[in-house]
Amino acid sequence: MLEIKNLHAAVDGKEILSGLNLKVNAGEVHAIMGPNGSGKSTLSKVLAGHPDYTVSSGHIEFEVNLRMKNVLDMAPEERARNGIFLAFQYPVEIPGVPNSAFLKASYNAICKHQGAKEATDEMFGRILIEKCKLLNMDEKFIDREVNVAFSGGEKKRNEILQMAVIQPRLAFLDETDSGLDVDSLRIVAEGVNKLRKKDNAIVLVTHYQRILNYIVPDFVHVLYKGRIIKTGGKELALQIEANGYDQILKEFQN
Amino acid sequence: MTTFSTIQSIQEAWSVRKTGLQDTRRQTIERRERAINLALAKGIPNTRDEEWKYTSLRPLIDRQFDLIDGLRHDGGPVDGSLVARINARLAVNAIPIVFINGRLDLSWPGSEALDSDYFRTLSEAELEEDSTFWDEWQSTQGMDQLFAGINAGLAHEGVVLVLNAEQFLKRPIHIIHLATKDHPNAARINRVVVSVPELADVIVYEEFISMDVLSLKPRVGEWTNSLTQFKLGPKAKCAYYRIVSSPNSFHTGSVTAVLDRDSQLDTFSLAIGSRFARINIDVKFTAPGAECTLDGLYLLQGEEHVDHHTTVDHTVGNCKTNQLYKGILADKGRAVFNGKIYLRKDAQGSEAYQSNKNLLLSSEAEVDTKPQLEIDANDVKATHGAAIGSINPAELFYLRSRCIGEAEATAMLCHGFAEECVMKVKDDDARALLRDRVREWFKLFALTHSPSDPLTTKVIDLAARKILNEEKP
Repeated sequence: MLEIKNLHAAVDGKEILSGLNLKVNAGEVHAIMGPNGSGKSTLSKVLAGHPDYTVSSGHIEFEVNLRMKNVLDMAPEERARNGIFLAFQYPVEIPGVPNSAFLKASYNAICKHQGAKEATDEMFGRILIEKCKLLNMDEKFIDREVNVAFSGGEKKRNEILQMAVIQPRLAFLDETDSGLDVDSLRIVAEGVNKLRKKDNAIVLVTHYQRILNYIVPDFVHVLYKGRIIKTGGKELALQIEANGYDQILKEFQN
Repeated sequence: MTTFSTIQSIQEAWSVRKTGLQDTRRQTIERRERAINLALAKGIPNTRDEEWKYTSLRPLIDRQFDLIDGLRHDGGPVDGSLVARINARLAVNAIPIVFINGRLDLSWPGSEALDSDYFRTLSEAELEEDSTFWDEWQSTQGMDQLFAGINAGLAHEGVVLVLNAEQFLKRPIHIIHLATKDHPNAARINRVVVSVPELADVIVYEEFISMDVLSLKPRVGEWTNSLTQFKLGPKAKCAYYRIVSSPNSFHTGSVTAVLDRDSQLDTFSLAIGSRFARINIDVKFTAPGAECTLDGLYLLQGEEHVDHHTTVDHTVGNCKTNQLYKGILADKGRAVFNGKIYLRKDAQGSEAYQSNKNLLLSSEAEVDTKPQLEIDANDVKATHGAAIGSINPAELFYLRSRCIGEAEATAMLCHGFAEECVMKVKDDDARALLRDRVREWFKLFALTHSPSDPLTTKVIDLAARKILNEEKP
């Protein structure tokens, strides 16, 4: 459903992605690992359409209604409406905007995009309560301002709540596990697993193998200097956890 | 027609008013004359005056206004649809006190609930009360300012609320100053005094509106010069919500408050659209343990100009001030914020927090902000700050990445920016009313902007139109 070919992307005139290739099919779970500065977060932001990042060559295609479409032509909101979701590494605080109003605006934007009837406050209230139950989240989340005064764990759980409301076909989770204690990690991972379906896909961008114990990947990729230099199964993550990146980087340099 | 451009013209206005006051007490006339003379002693300020550096009085003093005379509304019964429209704006369960073009209409539907136990008109109170009553109001901080003085001298009618000790007014008082196109150049000078003695409690709304709110071509260009004064006794409580929404009007408003021991005053000043507005708020703590909240929000478009000058004087210890003023400025809107908080040497144990934040939606909008904290005591907690910025791109991207279009996301951020201030209001009904007025501004914005405006404007314009569409039945 996602195909990235020979992607070159830069921020502030500095090239970060240098010919990245990645293919993700429906139903798959991919993990992208790599040392600091290898381009993991850049990949997430380019995919979501962050305006600070420019793509100089290559392309990203995403399947919409059984046809591959050029993602780079789409505004961030169009990408999201078509099913691409990015869980932010650092979710943004939005003072004065209640979580419920924010989530309702997201939900109704998709309804409108799909030609479905938009939800009223009452209907959406019921949907939200159901999502909170599914993810084992306290309903008090709903009334708070978006991410304001949320703990690190709460912010990440709020990302998953958004994912549950939006129901994307491709979820790109950018270091959703970082900064979480063991219990929060388990709750977030269980939440993600509950949202898995055979026709959607998940890409986990992570530093640690830890989350992969809960969300088991079909493929593990190693990103280095803006390119994927090695791809393997879930055992590759264990190998990295045990030995670090040195051996893989050496193989690559040879 | 009168201009207020020179000392002489104001003195002439005073002599006209004086003639109309023949039936009142001599001491009332003398007191009013002293107020005028005190105000005029400093002359008419210009922009070389530090207090008027960013606000020129030119647009105001070059115009001619009709000085309204006659105490009461005499235009016969008011049109029923107008009554319905105005009463629909009242705070929940509030008792209305309505001025129409500066004249008090005591037969306004709903006003019959006012009780002479606590309510009198200014003219009644001037006849009944002796000079000790009035001198106390006259000696308040801020009364040496030009516009407060003009009001104290020239006011033709007003509201005097004097509660009894321990009296709790269950129903809020909602004072409406209504301008209609019958008197498009009226100079409306009304005074409000509110005395809340020991353990008493009252909520006061004061709203200045012209019937042009939500009109494409505002015609009413009146001048309102208001003076609203509060005196809080020990452990008294008062909330004051002040709203100016008259797109084509001139507004000079003065608010003074004196706070006794352990009293609490919460104020919110919402300024939505004024061709020219200068609002002075002066608060003085006279005994320990009192608290004051000074919050405000100004929403400007076109070439509107709103200037807030606030002063809080901590002359005694253990009092607390909490101030948040925010503003959204579009087009060529211009705002001034000057917030002075004095922590005098006897103000030990005081707390003062002050913040002014501005959101600029256009490169032609301008804000001049000066938070000013002067500390002479050594045992105090105090912070202050000011910020000016545009829409935060990280916040915008976050919303867009959640399927929300750029226009709607921008509107959400603007609403959120305003809401951050409105949500501080503890009273549910007051908060709802203020929210409603903020939405009104977004509507007004949509009505007054064509799609050919620059991008920033267009974005918010689209968003405002969305709100309009939502509200269509």
